[in-house]
Amino acid sequence: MSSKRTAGAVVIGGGAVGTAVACYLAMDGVDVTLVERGEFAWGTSRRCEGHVVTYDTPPGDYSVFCKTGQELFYEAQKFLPVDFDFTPEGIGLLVDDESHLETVKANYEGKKKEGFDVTLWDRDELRHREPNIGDNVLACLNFNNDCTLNPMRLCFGLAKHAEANGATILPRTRVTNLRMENGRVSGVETDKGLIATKNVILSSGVWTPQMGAMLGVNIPIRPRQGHIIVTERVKGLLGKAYVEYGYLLTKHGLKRENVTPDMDKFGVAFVIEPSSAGTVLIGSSRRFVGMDIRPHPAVMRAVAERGNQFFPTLSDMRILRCYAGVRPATTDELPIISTTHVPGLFVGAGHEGLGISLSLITGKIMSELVRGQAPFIDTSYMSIDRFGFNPPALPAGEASV
Amino acid sequence: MFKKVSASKGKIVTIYFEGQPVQTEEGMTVAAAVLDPSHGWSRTSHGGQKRGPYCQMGVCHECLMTIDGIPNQQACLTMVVEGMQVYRQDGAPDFHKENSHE
Ligand SMILES: Cc1cc2nc3c(=O)[nH]c(=O)nc-3n(C[C@H](O)[C@H](O)[C@H](O)COP(=O)(O)OP(=O)(O)OC[C@H]3O[C@@H](n4cnc5c(N)ncnc54)[C@H](O)[C@@H]3O)c2cc1C
Ligand code: FES
Repeated sequence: MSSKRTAGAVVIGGGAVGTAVACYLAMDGVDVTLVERGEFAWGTSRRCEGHVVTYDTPPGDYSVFCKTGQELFYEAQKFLPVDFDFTPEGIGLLVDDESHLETVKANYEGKKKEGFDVTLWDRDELRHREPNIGDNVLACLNFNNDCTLNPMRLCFGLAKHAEANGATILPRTRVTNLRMENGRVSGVETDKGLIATKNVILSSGVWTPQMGAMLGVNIPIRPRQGHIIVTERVKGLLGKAYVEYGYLLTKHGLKRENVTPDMDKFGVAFVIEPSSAGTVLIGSSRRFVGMDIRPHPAVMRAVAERGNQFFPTLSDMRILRCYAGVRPATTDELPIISTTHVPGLFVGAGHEGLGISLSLITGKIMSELVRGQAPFIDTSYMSIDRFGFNPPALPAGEASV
Repeated sequence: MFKKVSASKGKIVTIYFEGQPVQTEEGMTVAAAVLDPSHGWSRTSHGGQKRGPYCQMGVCHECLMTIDGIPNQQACLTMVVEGMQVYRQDGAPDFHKENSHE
């Protein structure tokens, strides 16, 4: 890219969110350019598990939002040009603590009222379905429409489909500065040249605050690290993906019984996903250690130990590798899907542990915002304004990679 | 692709590959024995393609085989032993409870 370019809108970031935003904008006829400093997907979207979920929101507006977002995957699966290992087999929420049963049952009733396809398995039913399950697990609440997918393939598919619909896709292009003229966005400077545009969408995950700072807009997002262990290939270990109920507690920073001090310290909660290749992904942890994405042995050990409590057979299996990623976290667990006080600057970021799940709905809404339409579903509570006018930036953390 | 660099020095041992006796040398890895052109491959991938030992140093996991009844063993890190039973792996081993080796 040497000559000067122009675009109707520029999306910064080629993760699940950015590629989805570019895809919907292109499908809606906007002349959009997507810039990614690396390849697809370069950031957190290649360091996660691919659950598209509704299990982790209590009944309410946000729960319905997640459900609506999930339905888009059933559609996208039909039109995306890449097979993204879409597995609509449901995800089970495992309960191993007597004291959580009441809350889980209330959750079940509430979700049912909202029209979710949920079922509750008692201990016997669970053992019948999953012979390898640990003796301590008491029940399982199944979210039958939850699904799993391969996030990298999803990003590829979205970028390709955006391109097929007229988008310009620029990998290996790093944004170095943003420009403003007459009080509104006017262009994006990159290491390969300038792109003149009146609309910029920041979907740069944990790097979004850096982008906002270029125009003096503070975006309160910080990196929250998580680990994943990948096992050798096996079959017959388990039938579908599961999460422990304690996952919801660690997400909200609440104390749990039944866990070791390390599990508590590292925010370890059990998540398991069989991949189509036969390997099994086991997670995960939650802690604030800056941009550090080096897997830490003590965290891996705690994740593995927690896994063994739910599926003791895991201790017979070998680990192939481990990786860590940093989730783009806000302070209230909700993403920022919003205009800003700078005309032409939009933010679609801060999805924490739900960036894959909410990628498509974020793309759809962002396209509506950019085109000046009211979103098809209420997103007012996801506005950046909820943090106050230009809120103080969050500390980025210690190490930087 | 791979060539043996030195002439034979070790003691001859017999291992069983897919039930058939194979003569090899002490000090060889199972992967090296399997690389003999008449055997060639060690496992199938999830798409069903044949895979053979590649990195020879425990990194790529292309050489997974069932050795003496234990599945998913890295043949490149396992030395041949007289009487060893080596089987190719067709797909992934089954960890279903009833079948698991406990
Ligand atoms: C261990 C773990 C497990 C997870 N499991 C799940 C799950 O099961 N389900 C789920 O929904 N979510 C999950 N998540 C969360 C999910 O991964 C994230 O929310 C999501 O990937 C965020 O996507 P994104 O597009 O916002 O950011 P990213 O994928 O990080 O994309 C941002 C992009 O911006 C690019 N960029 C940065 N700076 C520049 C620049 N200057 N110029 C150009 N480009 C730039 C980066 O290279 C990067 O590719 C998990 C996360 C972790 C860490
Ligand atoms: S040949 Fe690569 S791990 Fe054995």
